Amino acid sequence: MGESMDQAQIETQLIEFIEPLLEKPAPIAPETDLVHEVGLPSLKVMELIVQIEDTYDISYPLNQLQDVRTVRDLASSVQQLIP
Amino acid sequence: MSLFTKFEALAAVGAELAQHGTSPVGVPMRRVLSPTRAEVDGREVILAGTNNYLGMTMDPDCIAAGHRALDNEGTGTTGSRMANGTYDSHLALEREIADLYGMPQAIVFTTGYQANLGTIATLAGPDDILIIDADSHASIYDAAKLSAARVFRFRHNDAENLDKRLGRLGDEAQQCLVVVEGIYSMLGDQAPLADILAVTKKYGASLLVDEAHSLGVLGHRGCGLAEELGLLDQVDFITGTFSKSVGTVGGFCVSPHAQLAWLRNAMRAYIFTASASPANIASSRVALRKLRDETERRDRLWANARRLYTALGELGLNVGPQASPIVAVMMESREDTLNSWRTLLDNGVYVNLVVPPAANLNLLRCSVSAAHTPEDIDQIIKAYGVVAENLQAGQEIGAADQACAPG
Repeated sequence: MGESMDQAQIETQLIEFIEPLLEKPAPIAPETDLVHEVGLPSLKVMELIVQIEDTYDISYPLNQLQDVRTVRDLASSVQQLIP
Repeated sequence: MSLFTKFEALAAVGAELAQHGTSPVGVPMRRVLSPTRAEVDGREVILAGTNNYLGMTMDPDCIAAGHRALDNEGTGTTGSRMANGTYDSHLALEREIADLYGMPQAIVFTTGYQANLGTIATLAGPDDILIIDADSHASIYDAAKLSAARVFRFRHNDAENLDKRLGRLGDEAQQCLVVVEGIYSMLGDQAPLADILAVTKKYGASLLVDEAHSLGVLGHRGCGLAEELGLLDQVDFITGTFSKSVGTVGGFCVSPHAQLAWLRNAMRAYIFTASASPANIASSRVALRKLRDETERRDRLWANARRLYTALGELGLNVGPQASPIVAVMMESREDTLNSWRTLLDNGVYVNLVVPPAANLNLLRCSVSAAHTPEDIDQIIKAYGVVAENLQAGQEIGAADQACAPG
């Protein structure tokens, strides 16, 4: 499924995944900082990664999370992993 | 914004837990009376959350050996194993663990946490890959963080999911260390080790099994899950801790690969820390002999574990997936968990409270000991009976409220 996806599509899909994981509902945009703006707890980040791996059929390295701040960062790293 | 700002949410959880009397986090044991009894909150309670699986902490022979070492060798080694911290007793313990596992050698660490940190973070270097079970212990996650390897998780106990991840790696799979646990510490479930081993071998990867909660608990000699399943000769690395069934503090790694020796001078968690105290090593040596030979301890442990697991299930509580010395009850909410934990303590039973962020679950985690008497197990079951009644009553009130609520 991944081949035809562009980054904007991935961003939209990631926002759909992230919204239900938030304790307090908040608007999420591609530029939203996941930890500092919406306070996504580490356990929820792990849930998100599982969902991403299942959806795009990829293995997401946990060390890559260090460089991820925004939805856009995450989408870009996901896109790079899609074969 | 200060250095402390980021801890505010965690501090709020701590404050919430401490709201009604003794906090479940760091409960003070005023006096320890036996492996299964202590004074908590001004009363004697049954300890059912200590991981003291074989009741080894108060064994007279282990205590006597510790006394002798304290008298003869002093209170501490004041040094790293690499410098002045290697005594004959450290080497003897390593030989004895290697013999117990039938492997060429063992390395002893000061704690179990360091055994995982040292072994895993060092084995998996910058060009390697670590694949860990999603429900791994914090020491494995921390090792993954410290390691320069690429790190992936696979779905808990899912060999097929592991297969997918190894498959995606291609030839790189041979540079991969897969990490699982014998018994998982939260729910007490065992790894499907034969399946995981088959997948690991299929791709030429290596397997490390952390037997922290299965040492002394599984296998005829008490070596853990790999021995229980007859797979001891196929696993690449086994780590374990002395802080549970052995009743002391420390950790170890054994391997059928003689090259394990090469790691000794590369593991920072082994080098840059003081070695275990002589008394600790002496008690561990006696305890490991008993762990191997006194199989009746394992029999008693499992009889207690099966009885408690079955009884709690019959009370309608949501117990873990299989009978185990860790008997966990999964709860609906943090509030229910906290209230039930207090009910157990009020009824003379101490168990572990587990709530996020410690794990992704709300749990009452009970661990059974060979030292529990049948009467202790009766009392634990009775206390859980009160919990089950309260939960049932709460649900009925909740249902009645809903029924009465104006539509």
